[in-house]
Amino acid sequence: MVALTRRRRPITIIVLLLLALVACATMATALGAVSVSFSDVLKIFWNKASPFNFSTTWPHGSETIILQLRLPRVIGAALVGAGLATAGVLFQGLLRNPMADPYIIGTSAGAALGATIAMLLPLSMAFLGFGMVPVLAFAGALATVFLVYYLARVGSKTPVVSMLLAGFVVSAMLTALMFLVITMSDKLYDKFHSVYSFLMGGISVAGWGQVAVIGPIVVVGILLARLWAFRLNAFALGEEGAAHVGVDVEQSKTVFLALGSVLTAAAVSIGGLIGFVGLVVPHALRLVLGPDHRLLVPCSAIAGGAFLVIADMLARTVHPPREIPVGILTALIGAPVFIYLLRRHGKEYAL
Amino acid sequence: MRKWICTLVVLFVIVSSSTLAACGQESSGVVLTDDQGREVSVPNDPQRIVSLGSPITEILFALNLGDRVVATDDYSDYPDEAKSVAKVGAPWPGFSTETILNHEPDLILSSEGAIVQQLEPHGVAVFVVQPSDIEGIYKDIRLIGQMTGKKKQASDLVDSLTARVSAVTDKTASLTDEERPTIFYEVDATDASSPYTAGSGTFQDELIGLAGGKNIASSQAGWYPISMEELVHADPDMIILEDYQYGVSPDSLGARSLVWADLSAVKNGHVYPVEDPDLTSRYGPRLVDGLEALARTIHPELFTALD
Repeated sequence: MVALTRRRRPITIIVLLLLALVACATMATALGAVSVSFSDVLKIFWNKASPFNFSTTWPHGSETIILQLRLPRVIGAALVGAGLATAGVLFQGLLRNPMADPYIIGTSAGAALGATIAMLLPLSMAFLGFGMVPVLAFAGALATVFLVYYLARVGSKTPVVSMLLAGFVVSAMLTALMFLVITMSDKLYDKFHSVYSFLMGGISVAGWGQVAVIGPIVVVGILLARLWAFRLNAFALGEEGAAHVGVDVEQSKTVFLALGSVLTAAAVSIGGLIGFVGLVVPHALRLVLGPDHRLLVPCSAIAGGAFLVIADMLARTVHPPREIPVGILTALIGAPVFIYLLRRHGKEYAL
Repeated sequence: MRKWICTLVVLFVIVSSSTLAACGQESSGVVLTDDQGREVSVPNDPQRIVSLGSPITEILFALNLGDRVVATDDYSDYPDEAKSVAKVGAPWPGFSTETILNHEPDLILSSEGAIVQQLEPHGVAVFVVQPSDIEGIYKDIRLIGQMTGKKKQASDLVDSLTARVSAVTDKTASLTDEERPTIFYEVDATDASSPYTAGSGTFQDELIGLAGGKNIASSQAGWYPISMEELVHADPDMIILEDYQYGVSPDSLGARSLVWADLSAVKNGHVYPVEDPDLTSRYGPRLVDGLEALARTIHPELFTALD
């Protein structure tokens, strides 16, 4: 199968993956805590998209559930998965580190601290239709990356090792601060479940508003990553090698760091700290498709989106009307799939 | 080897003597079963009580035992006199064992079981008060009365509470199914896409039922985040906001999203705050105040005269 896919043209692979994403999204929209028949789902879509309407035979609530709750949530999940997987490709390629994931330089700790502080603020506060939790999570993630970047900078260079170490230390400090805030606060005792939900990850999309803000950020981010993917290929030669083939190493690092961080921050703001997607999806696709980032970036984005759409669907439907944290499912499904691919691949695996 | 045997013998002597000492203490009190099914030997007429739970503090003060309460948890703030009693921490991030023991209690009443292992080795009676419904509250009030020699007061308190509950249920019991509005009870909407609600087995659920409403979350046990789909599907007649204290006002729900704005309760303006969430979440005598307040909210036509 590996050889087979390699012989196909890249465009074919991307189209096939996109079809798979659409199929997953359709299934995820049809399934949920409340059952709406598949034909009703299709009719509701048709009525919305075309001037010729079926007569409404379903309860008013079904239309709200499909068009205002499930569809934005499914798209939100796809955006989060795509953003995390793309950020994972960028960080793994940039840092040439197989353990790199979107959170490796501290974004997760910054986001968690931001979200925790936001949970102490009055619930009535809002910004662009978002509650304070996504806003401060986004801000916390980005602020952390700026801090790490600044700390790791030596003269005009940012060595990868100092970036990893600075990221690790800043992460540890921010995580400690977060737990300090939780411990010192009276109010958070009541809100512990909210902190927990954020740390475990879960798609929190209440309507189209969030999708309209996060969507463009993620889509533009992925397109830019694809546009500069050849530079990541050069990075595989090592920084000196990349410089030899004419890539501005320091500038590229800054660009990819910023791009990966914005994608991660956007994903975290509506998804919390969902683990595994950003680590495993890029690795899995590298096993199947090979290391060319021009193919790896778009394919990871689409596959990451589809993966999270399915994981989120399960999170919503396994134990209704309760939702289980999606982060549990990404690891439970992702780990066996990845081990299977790793075993099947057989050969020694390199980035 | 000989060293080991010596150590074992010494240990045996220490253990058996302390067990004997413990047995000696037991004979001076009464053995009662707490809400965790533990048999606790409670000393006769305890004079130095530590209350680790605001509902317990409220019960103690209601039985005129305020002067025997030497310390409480940080959240005990009712009645006003309770505010000036020494504080010993909270379940989160934890109680200070030495602060508790420093008050030399002869009885500790705790709202949670986790603390027992922390305190019991120090030879203090720890009795867990953790009722799961209103009947359980009555039972615990009577038990506390029995421990403290206030049987009569406890019995009177239970009688008056029972009478007030009956005054509500007498009117709501005869309501038909259609006359009982469906209710979504919002505990915390930090995440407005899956707000926390109170399912079966919670006091809120019991109160809603007694007050003549139908809790849409009754099919699930405990507090849990409800899925918005379920909320839209149930489309409750009424929404009650316990997170009013966190700054959620009834008229802010429509602004959360189109889905919220489209709920019947929001469109019809049937969204009501819980002014004092302590009344509906603490299992003290004031829970009946909470019941009366809920009854007035859910059935104003029946309960205008209850003030």
